[in-house]
Amino acid sequence: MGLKYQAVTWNRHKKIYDGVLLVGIALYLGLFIGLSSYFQPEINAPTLIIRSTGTLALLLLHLILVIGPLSRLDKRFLPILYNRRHLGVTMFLIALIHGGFSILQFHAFGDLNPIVSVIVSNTHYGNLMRFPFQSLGLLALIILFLMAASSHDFWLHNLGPVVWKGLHMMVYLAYAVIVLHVMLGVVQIEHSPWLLASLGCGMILVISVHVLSGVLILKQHKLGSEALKEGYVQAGNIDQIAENRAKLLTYEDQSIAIFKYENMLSAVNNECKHQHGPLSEGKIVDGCITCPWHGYQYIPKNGTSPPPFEEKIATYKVKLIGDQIWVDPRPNPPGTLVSPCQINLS
Amino acid sequence: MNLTSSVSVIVLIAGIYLVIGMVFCLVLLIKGLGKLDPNAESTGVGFKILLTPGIIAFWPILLIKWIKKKR
Ligand code: HEM
Ligand code: FES
Repeated sequence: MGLKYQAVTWNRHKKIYDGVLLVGIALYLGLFIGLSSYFQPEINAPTLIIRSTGTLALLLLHLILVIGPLSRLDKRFLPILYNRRHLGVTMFLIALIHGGFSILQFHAFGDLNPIVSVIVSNTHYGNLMRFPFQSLGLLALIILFLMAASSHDFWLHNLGPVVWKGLHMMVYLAYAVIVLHVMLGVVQIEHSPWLLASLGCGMILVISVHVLSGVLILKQHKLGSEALKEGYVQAGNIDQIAENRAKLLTYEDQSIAIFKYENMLSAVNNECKHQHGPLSEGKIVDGCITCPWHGYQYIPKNGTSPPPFEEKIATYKVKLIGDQIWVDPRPNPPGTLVSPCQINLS
Repeated sequence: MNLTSSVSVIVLIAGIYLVIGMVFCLVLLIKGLGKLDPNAESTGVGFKILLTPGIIAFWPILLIKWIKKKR
């Protein structure tokens, strides 16, 4: 963006989001610690902290992983997707408390450097059931750190999109490593069938929403040149688009978002300039197309971000024949003004 | 070398890497982040604090970028 960086660009939604998140975290920790000390009074305080923060980080990680595919399957999940970044950093901080307390509890008072001790205190690297699960936790924590540390937009620009994206796709590696960490930890230390069962359900959920949303993307059939009539492709009926929302049209390599607002239609490229968020899954807020991922905005008729921002996306010509929408799939250069198509109510 | 001493060496190297990162971070914040990225010129303290862990972790990438910009 052509604008100075800020620590956080706050808005009302983000404040409510973070408020709800903090209250949820406090409730979870309070309930966990309260119930555990009631039913298992023999557990000491550090272990309670280790267990409550470990399970909470695991829960938040599941939320982070399912929310992308879920909001593709059902738009009502979009408000949770927006600002997922804060969710990620929060999850890392909670995992850090868990790891920190574990190191303090089990590794801080020996002769070895505590980090070295995490890796070498159990040497059964060749044995699956006795595998040093704490080393796996450390590995996951390092990955989560790298992601949290690079979550600000400054890093997207200064590491470059390819490195940045690669780094953040490592969340799946971290997830796999954490699953092993927890399973082996339960087997070796705790024997809690509840935790194992919930983790199983969580994994099934993560995998199934990813598969379902993948199928949905595959099923979106792409139109080819045979769909072209006098330079336009048909994009369906006007009633299929709700006010201030969009419909996605894919034609050859073009993904086009067609927005309906104030009795007009405008079409822009579906890809947000920020991190390629799907604009067609967003809506129009204050007259601007608003990306569902982090809220970048574009004016529908010219695909340009409102000042002082300078992002530009491609625009397309739209026309109506009866109640059928037709779009010219050749992109105009980013930022080109295209007069919106008027909808004549008859 | 046994496991403990090899791991100790690796952890030591990682520690040195991070200490260099801290020094680099100080220099970069004093000299001004604007040298790297014009949008980061004279930004707030909150932003700088938020960036610190990343600078310490990713310092070689920023250093290369900085050297390239100077030329
Ligand atoms: C340096 C890194 C880490 C260390 C040293 C560590 C250590 C441990 C230890 C010692 C336990 C067993 C605690 C007990 O039941 O008494 C444990 C369990 C667990 N850890 Fe970690 N861990 C680390 C990172 C992580 C990370 C990144 C996560 C991710 C979300 C995580 C999630 C969990 C969970 C869910 C449990 C099971 C909690 C329970 O026993 O009820 N750990 N960890
Ligand atoms: S992808 Fe981040 S705002 Fe669109």
